[in-house]
Parts: sequence; structure tokens; C-alpha cells
Amino acid sequence: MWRKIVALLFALITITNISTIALADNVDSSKYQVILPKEEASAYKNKVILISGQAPVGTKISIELYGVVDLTGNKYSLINLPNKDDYTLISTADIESGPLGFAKEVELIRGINKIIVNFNVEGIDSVERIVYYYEAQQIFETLRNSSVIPTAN
Amino acid sequence: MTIERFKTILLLSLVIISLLLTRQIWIKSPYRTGLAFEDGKLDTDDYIRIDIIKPHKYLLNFNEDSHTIFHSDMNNNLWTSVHSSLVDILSSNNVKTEEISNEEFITYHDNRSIVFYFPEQYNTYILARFLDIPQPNDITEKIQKVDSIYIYLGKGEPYLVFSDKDFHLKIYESNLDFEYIKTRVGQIEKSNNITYYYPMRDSLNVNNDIYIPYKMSRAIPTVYVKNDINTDNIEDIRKIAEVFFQKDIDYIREIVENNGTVLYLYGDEVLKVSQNGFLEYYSPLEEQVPERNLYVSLVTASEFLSSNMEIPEDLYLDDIQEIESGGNLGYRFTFKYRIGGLPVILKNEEIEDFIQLEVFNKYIRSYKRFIREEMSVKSNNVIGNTEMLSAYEIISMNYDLIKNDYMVENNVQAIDEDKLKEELLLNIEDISIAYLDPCENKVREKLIGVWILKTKNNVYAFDVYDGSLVIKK
Repeated sequence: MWRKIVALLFALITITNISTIALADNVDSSKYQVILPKEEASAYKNKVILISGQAPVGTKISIELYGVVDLTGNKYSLINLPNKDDYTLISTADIESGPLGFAKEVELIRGINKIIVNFNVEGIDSVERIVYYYEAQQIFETLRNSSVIPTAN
Repeated sequence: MTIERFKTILLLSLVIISLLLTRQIWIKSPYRTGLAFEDGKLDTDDYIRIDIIKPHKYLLNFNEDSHTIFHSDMNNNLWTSVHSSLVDILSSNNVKTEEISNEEFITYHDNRSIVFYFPEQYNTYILARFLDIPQPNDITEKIQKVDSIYIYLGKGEPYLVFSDKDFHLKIYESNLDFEYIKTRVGQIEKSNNITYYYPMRDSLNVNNDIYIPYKMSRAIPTVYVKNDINTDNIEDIRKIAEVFFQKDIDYIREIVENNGTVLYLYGDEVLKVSQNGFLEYYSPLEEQVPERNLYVSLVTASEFLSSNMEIPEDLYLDDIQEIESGGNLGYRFTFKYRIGGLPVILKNEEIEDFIQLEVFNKYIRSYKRFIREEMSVKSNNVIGNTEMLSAYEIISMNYDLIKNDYMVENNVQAIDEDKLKEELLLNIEDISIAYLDPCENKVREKLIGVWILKTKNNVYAFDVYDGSLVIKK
């Protein structure tokens, strides 16, 4: 009896996996793109940033913004990025892709921000962007205190 | 003896004065010789002509990441503050010019700068003359028309770029001073409620340099208007006729039609005031005008506007068309105006525009006018908590409508959706906010806030709050 159950479970798992692989193979990953921010890591002067991209109509997309607590504003830079565990979730936005794709304005925090765009589609990886937001005054202080200069996009 | 001589001189003087006065009464024609200037005299000192040349859009580039657009210069004086620099640029003998490519010019938007977009390609010579420059320099020849003016506000040597579509002329002049505008742009940047605009080139990955917003920082106020002509009071209309013909109403023939339209005739001139407040004036040309002159025609138009009924403060020249009638060559000028800083468009197809003049050099042949005044109504506020839709949201919501029109008009069969989307976005020429006047009520007419989307073949007006199509032209 047990053997039959185990065999049935094994068969079910195999079928499920095969269908998942088949489904993933049908997904055209080129249809899922993040247009803005362009670079994987970039410096940004404006507090508000636009996240835009392409995805088939109706795709449920979540945009997560992570930041790091850096009271001095000098601890991290695009060269000296925080560890994965140092990030804290700041905000989450759930949007749906329309005929033009998707777009959402997100308010950054000073310093290093990590933006994760999750398409919630199996076989499509989430996209990660690192944005260093600085104000004009901050860049002077960074230049004075450190030899590390954030690169402009 | 001396007294007698004095009396003779006095008598002689009285005779001469009486002859002069009699001449004025009997020899001078009681009919006005049209609304023309005396040859060579263009006396418009009381009217600043540059006021009719105004940008309809202001792009403020704070840096490469941050841009915003204003549709009005209210309270900022951004345009008026650069008049003196434009005078320097167009009159100085020390200007250096350099032609730059469109690709290079696009990168200039990453620098701190401002761009003034005009509703029409303005003639550079006219711009110079309207800035009271008697003899403009050769910039008017190097770039004869201008549809936008870019001003660099960053560090280093200041410069301007005059543009005519994809032709760009970079201009340096040592005396340029943009301190006021730099300060003002800095203050605007620090304000909290900025609506950010992004170039479609960057945000939608399409070869179109139009800037669109994705989230509106604030809504537009609700505005109520009324006709500036009270057609329910015949005395008010008579006063207008007296202003037009500069004669007492007793000398003007009045005809009241059954539908309430009132006609006034004086010589060959006709003034018609319809019940809906639409005013039309016609005057035949006094002589043939075989050659057209834009400068003289524009001066005639501005003088005419300033010498008749009051004109709205935020009036601007929106369109110039060449016209021909019976061998006479002239121009049709269309003027528009803003209410609460936003342009107003009309839903009524019968009334084409707010102010339209047909001018043949120094003669006005026709004048049409439909002006509305803003009313002080208690509910003159932003609509509750309703969020205003952004241009991006409007295009998304109406994508199928725009797509179907595009496919029908361009005879496009089913093609790849991504390619079609790219073509549609390339087809968009402009998108801006305006008020739409339904023209249904004489008073307490509520204006509809709309996004005006201009494509190569159509103009759509979508409600800014629910995204519905209000009109399509």
C-alpha cells in the first residue's frame, strides 16, 4: 500500500515539475524588462525616482525599496556597498502592467537604496537596481571626507 | 488808434479760427478711414507688443534626473526676465554662434537649464522688432524661425540655443545675466509639490523627446466662467458698437434679428453680436494688398486689440496662417489665453477660437472674438480628494482607442504589438494640460480639466479625473 502511495506521489511530483519546466520554457524573458533605472548601480540627484519597464498586460509586479541606516551618509557608496543583511525594507508597491508597460515613482532615502522589481512570474528573475541618492551639499562633504566618489549615471 | 488795431487783429484771429473749425466739420469725412495707420507711422507706444509673443510651455531642467513643466509664467516672470538678455543677443555685435546637432542638443537637457516652447514657429526678425530692436543683428538670418529657446543656467559661460525643429543655433554673448532666473528656478526646485516630467525617450525607451508625467503632485482648481459680453443687456452691446466705430450710437444703424443677434452697420463696416456672446466684425479692404508683410500685419493686429475692447491679460499668439482673398495677401492670426495659468480650448465647433483676426498689412478685414471671464464662485477649489490622472495613465487608459484610430488612419494591418506600440508612441507630438470650455452656458459654465493629446492626425481631449474622451478633432 505504502509503495503505491509513494509511487503515486513521485509520479505527481514528476508531472508537476515537468509542467513547470514546460511553462517556464514558454515564457519569453525579453518581454520582462526594467527600463529605468538603466544602470545596475547609479548615482541619483533627485529624491523621487521613476521605475519603469515592460511586461505583458496584466502582469502583477511588486516594487520593493530597501535602504540602509547610515546617519553620517558617508558609510556606504557605490563602491562600498552594504551587506545583504544590512538592508531594511522601506516600502513596497504593487502595480499591474498596462499596454505601455509599468511605471511607478518611488521616494528614495539618502544614501544607498536597493530597488527590487519582482514580476511574480515563474521563470522570470526579479531585477535589482542599486541607487545612490545624494544631495548637492552631501557630495561636497563626501569629497572632503573620502576619496570615494559616487559615479553619475 | 492802438486799441483799434488790436481789435482788428483780434477780429482777424477769430475769423481764421472759425475757418479752421469749419474746415474740420465740413471737409473731414465723418466716416473713419478703416482701422489703418497713417503711412509710416506705427504708433503703439501704449502697448507692449512682445506681450503677444509668449511661450506656451516651460521645461525646467534641474539636473539630468529631474525635470518639470509649467504651462504658465504666473508669479514666476521667467519669460519676462529674459527679455533684456534676448535684446542683447539679437542686437549685439559681439555674439558668437555655433550650429549644434540634434543629438548634442538633447544632451543639453541634462544640464541645469530652462526651455521656452512657443505655440508657433515665430519669425526671429519679428521677435527682435517686438523687443524694440530697430536693427537686429544677423542671427535673424542665421535662424529665421524659432520654436523654442533654451537657456543654460549651470556653472560657466552662459549661452542660449535658438531652435527651429531639429536645427539648433548655440549663441554666446559676454553680457548675459541670468541671475534672477537662476534664483527663481532654485526656489521652484526646493518647493515640495513638483510634478516630475520624464522624457519618453528614457522612460518608455522610444525615440520621442516629449516629456510626460507619471504622477501628478496636485490637481487643478475647478473654474467657472461667464461671457465677457452681457448679451441680455442691449445697452452694453451698444456701448461695444460705439467703441468699435468710435461714434455715438445715434450714428450707427442697429438691426436686431429674431434669434437675438444684433447687427451694427456703419459705412461698409459690420459688427455682429450673437446671443451666445460671439462677436464678429467685418470691414472691406480699402485698397488692393498684393504683398503681405508679417511685421506690419502683426503690429496692426496688436494695435487693433489694444485699442478696442479689453483683452485678457494672459493672451498669446497661438497660430499664424497665410491667407489670400480676391488677389489680396494677408494673415489669419489666432490668439488664445489662459485661465488660472492653463490654456483654454473650446468645445463649440461654430466658434473656432477665442480671438481670430484676418489682417492684410495695415488693414483689418475681420475680427472674431469669444472671451470668457473667470467667475468668483465659492466652490472655486480643487475637486475634493480626487487624484488627477497623469499623462502616462491617460495614454494607458485610452490605448485601444488611440491604437484603433492609428491603425485605421494609417491602414495598418495586424502587426507585432511591441512594434505597434512603438509606432503609436512615436506618433504622439505633444501632450499638455488645458481647460475645455463646453460653451453651453452664458454664466457659471464649469470648465473641464483635460489632457490634450496631439498625434499626427488627431487632437484628443481626455478628462483629467476619469480619463474619458471629451472631444476629438
